[in-house]
Amino acid sequence: MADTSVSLQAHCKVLLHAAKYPHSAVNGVLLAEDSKNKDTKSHRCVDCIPLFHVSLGLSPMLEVALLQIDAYCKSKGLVIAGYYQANENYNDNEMNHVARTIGRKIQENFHDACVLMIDNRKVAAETVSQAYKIYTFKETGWGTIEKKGNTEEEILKEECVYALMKSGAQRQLKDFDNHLNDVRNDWRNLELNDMIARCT
Amino acid sequence: MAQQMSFDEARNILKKFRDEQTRDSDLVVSLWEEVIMDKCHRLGDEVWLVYEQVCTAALDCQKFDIAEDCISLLDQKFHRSLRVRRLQGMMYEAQSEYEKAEEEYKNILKIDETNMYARKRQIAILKARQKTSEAIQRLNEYLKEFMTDYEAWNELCDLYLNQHDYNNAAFCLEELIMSNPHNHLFHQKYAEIRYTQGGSENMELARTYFAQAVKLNTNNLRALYGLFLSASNLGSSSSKGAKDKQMNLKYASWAAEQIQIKYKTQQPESQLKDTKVREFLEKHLDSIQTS
Repeated sequence: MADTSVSLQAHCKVLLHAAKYPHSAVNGVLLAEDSKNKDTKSHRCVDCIPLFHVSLGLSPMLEVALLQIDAYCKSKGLVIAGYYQANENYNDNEMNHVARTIGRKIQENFHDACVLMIDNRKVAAETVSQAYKIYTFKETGWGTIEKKGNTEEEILKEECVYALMKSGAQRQLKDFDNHLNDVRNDWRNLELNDMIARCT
Repeated sequence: MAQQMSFDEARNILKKFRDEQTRDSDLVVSLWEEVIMDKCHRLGDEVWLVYEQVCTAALDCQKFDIAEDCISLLDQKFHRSLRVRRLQGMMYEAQSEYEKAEEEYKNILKIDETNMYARKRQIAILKARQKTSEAIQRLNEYLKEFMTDYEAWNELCDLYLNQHDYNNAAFCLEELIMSNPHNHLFHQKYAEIRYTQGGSENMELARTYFAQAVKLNTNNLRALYGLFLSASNLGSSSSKGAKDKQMNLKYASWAAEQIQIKYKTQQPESQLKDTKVREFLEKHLDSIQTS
């Protein structure tokens, strides 16, 4: 089983997305570098694209988003390697039907795909540690993996998310729903990426 | 984020949120704490509306001390009013004390059995406890009496979607379309449900309703994309012969053209170039033509 890790940029955007819409479910996809080399023992999610915060269970706009993101990925040497979701119910952090279905679809294209389930209770500047569980697909179904990640990196991530949430950076995050409302909203979130980079 | 704002600016934002029913609890709470709170005597009678607004926002943010202050001030002014009791009930809900909340709502309904807010809060409790089928049943009962409550129909639709009950979800939207035939969003959502359901019959319904949504509002990008996908889907799987395929291909190309115009006129060149929208549309059309 390959090792899974999440970059600072992806980590921050995942949590900022959940922080921007605390009263609704949110989801998005994680991108990894496309390595043709099959022997790699680890894969790293280098970026994420926030998708929706309304009607997660309907397929047409999801198809549009995935087709568009796939075209974008191909031009950048990236691949859709994972999925994240925060549920609507505050206390619910289990994978539901939607997460399993989308996760499975991604896994069909990328063998070591992972699914991040966000714990809503941890999405606040003060409490943001271990804010999601990582699931991967094994023969019997989805199972969580222990997060090894070196602690230094974890601390850096927490500090960064803390600073971003304190400054209200979540308001700048644009997801695909925002994009469909107005195409000028860029789901790549380039400005936010710069802010995250400056955080370190 | 609100520190540099003047009192009047903050006051106007809160008013705008109330009028437009915007839910931005985080901002409401910080405007209250950082700008308004210390000068709230300047609000005059508006203060009671602001207390109510800040209270629900504070509950969203789990800031119970603020909510409690608002409730007790409101209760002093409007003693035992049903509107204040509802806030108290919501406070219990936010603290997951569902039985106490339920009790509060039952008392409201004893005094005023047509109180729709209390009825809806009771359904919200069921939803919070993840008793979706009970919530659906109660919401159906509610809608028999308050048939014109379109938010409730929308909520019922989403509850059915959670249960993957697409036929009933579609039924809710049919009700909404009948009472609001000019609202493009209802047509669009109906089409999205039918598309999700799949099968050629549903796909044709989806195409029809996406098209109607585009007709009602040419700026609805979701509907344009939906029309594009449903038409290209029908075009590539059509068993109805070459003519049908040609028609669908025509619809899909038209939708693709409209989408491209939107992107070209509204999106900066650099973004358009990098996000590959044009490439994706063209590739998708090509794949139908050759199928």
